Amino acid sequence: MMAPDEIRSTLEQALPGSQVEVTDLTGGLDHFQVVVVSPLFEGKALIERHRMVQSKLRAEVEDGRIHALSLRTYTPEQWRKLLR
Amino acid sequence: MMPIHGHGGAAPRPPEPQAETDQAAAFEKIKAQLARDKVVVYMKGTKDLPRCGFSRQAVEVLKLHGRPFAAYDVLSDPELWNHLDELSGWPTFPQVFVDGQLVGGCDIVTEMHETGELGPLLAKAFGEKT
Repeated sequence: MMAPDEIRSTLEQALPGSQVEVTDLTGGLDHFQVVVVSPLFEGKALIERHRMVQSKLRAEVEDGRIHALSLRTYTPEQWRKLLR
Repeated sequence: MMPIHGHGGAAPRPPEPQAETDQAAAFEKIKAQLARDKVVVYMKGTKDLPRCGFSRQAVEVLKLHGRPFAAYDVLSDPELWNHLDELSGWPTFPQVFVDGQLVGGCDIVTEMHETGELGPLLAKAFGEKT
């Protein structure tokens, strides 16, 4: 189990300049939805973006603190368009 | 959703009993499977009986596009279960490949469907102009 804030700070530190939103999907603190908005995603395919995020949470996934992640990745520009 | 390897268990370990498998033989088999079909899904369960919601969703998305695809059940094949992630570098199931290249898991395939990127990618794999 992990607090959503812990995941958020882990990712924000590992991916500088990113904004991260973490939602506990089940109330069980192990199924999360994670949205990452980062300039680091510019020019990168979805699979590369997901690999970037996954690699920062590998330990938490391997030891079972995180059971499932739903991941969405956006560049700041994509995010602005989405909100419009 | 990104289902973690050992769904229901903590660490990403194969279910008991674990069969010993040879990595080189498994890689050869996987590469042959990827060469055989344009679209290949490695999933938990089968197309008709998925054993995981994420695998089910990936299959449903692919079915919407009406293209033929091969699906292999990682739960019933220790070689796939033990070695696919070592070849693909992707830690979870399902894994969707187009033209031998890993596209991603359930989240990515779903998002590419929603953004309209998946159709052209599949069309290209089947040699159609987009």
